[in-house]
Amino acid sequence: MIHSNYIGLIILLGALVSSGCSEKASEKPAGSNNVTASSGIAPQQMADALQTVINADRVAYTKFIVNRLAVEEKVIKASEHWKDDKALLLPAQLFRAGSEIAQDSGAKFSYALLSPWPLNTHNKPKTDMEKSGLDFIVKNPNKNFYGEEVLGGTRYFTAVYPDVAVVDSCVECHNNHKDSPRTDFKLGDVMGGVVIRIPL
Amino acid sequence: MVMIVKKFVIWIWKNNIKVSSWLIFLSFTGLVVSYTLAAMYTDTFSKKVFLSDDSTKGHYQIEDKCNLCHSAYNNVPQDNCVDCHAEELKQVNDSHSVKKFRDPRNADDLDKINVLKCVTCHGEHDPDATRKMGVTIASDFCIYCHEDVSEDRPTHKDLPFDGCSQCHNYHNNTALYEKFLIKHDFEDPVKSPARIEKANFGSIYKVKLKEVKPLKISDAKYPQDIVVNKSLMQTWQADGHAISGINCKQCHSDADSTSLSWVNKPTTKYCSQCHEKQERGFLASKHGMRLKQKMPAITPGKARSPMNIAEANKQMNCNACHGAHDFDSTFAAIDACVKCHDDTHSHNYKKSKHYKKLVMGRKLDDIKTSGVTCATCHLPRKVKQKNGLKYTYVEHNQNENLRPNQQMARNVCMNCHGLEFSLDALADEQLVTNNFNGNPNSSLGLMKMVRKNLQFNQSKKRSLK
Repeated sequence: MIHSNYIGLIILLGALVSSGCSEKASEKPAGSNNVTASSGIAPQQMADALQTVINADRVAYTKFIVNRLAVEEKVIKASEHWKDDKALLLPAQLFRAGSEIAQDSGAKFSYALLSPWPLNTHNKPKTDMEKSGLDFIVKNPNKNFYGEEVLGGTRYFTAVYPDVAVVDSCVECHNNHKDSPRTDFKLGDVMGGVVIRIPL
Repeated sequence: MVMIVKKFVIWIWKNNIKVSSWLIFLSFTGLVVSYTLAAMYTDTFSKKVFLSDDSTKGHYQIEDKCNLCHSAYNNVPQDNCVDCHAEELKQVNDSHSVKKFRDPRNADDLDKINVLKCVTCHGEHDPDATRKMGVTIASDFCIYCHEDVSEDRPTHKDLPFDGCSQCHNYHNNTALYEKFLIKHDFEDPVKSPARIEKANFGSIYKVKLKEVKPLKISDAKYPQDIVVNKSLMQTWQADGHAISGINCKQCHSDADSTSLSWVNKPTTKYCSQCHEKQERGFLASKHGMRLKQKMPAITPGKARSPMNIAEANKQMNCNACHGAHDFDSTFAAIDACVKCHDDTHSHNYKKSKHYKKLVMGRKLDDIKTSGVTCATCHLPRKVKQKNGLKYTYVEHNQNENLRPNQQMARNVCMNCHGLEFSLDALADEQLVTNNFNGNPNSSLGLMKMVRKNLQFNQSKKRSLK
């Protein structure tokens, strides 16, 4: 009886020790999540790759679905209240829905569409890095912004990419929306920025 | 071991402690320990002994199963809340859905109020600190993130933050977002025509099966050795099941077996084979939540709301409201409710205008679409579209429209009443008690606020141009 108790204690201690070990083993050097320099992909490369895919899908949706069907052919509406109006999601909503699905599926990286002139105040720049990043891309529309910041005790590689009005409907909708703080957007203007974060 | 007992007996002897006192002490301790272990690890004894205080109205029915909410280490994992509440939150398009705050850019806000966990706002076993819907957080919590709300909404400038919930709901604002309010501004208190959508489960079922032949008594198939009452057969023939081609054996079978062997008294588990949506709603409701957790059904005698003592032992399952062969939805929609519910709101129903309109509708043989029953508001008809087919079904979760009751405005009231009238009526507690027999005494002034905010934003935009 006593003997079996000892065995139990040994197993318990073993489990505690091994769980401590496994915790240590999972601590990877800066730039982990398969994006370390040693594994071949730097955080900036990964952020740039993500942005390429995100932007490609966004432009395709805006041009080939929303602009074609809701603006040119007018066979369906695109609406902020897409469920109620039985309509297409606005491009910015599709972006956010995708980002939330990625977070739900456990992605460690995150991406958001922010603007100094947002329709939804939740999308105003909040962190210092967001503020300086958006300020930079508005002043330098052809350049990206890269930096590092600590949020909630975790260090992130943060990239900010200019988000440009690609079709007339982007400009018209934002200029005329009741909650828009800016009314003079033109085609090709930087309307905001895509912020991608990768934990280091 | 022997040495330890020997030393213990010598110690008692030396300290002159009476053996009888020790026997009493050890017996008592043994009893307490045995009871505690039995309550913890078996279902023989109630676990209420472990509750620090009363559970909320929403959870008291399942308080005997601690592990539904608590982990072994006493904390409440978020997944345990999500298991029961995720579907409802998804349906109401949760305004503060967890997925909106997972992005690390929200870290500072989450430090102030961790909205990723239900227990930040909803506590348990603390009745003195608990408000409606199990909310235990300080009532001015919106200030954490919406301190600057009056910048865009000047009407909110001097409003106290502990009063936000008078108009807004943290999760469900489907009837309260600005565009919706604007769209329904200037609506009449009573619309014309005022119609409730007709449930069409039967006709959709027929479409699903493609060919359905209504059955007659002569078509009924049951074992020859069973004696069947003639009036029961007539009831069955006149009922929706026979009309939809459902023969005896389709229900009188063992739900857990594929053999279709005859069962005299089938369990209501069989109902869900066709009425899956209705069952899902019922199991999420206060009527069915214990069944969902594989616990014995709730009875009116164990409910916290006032109930008729004569019905104290009635088991709440499908047959509590629907007859075994007569599934008369009119009985299920009124009499089945008022038979058990013994409160002022229920007592006043038959004095209400809603009921009078129903009686008039009955005379005109227009019962399915005229008037308002208990179920019209508490088990509302919902319209969905699947595979291009529009179907209207009865939502059997009686609680869905009551968290808070503003939800009823869009789901039910607006079929017949204007939005502002509906919201004002639902906010008037006296009117709720007398079962809406009259007009709202005051107005929340929502539409005035919306118009004012809209003007403010338009003039702000003009100044920008």
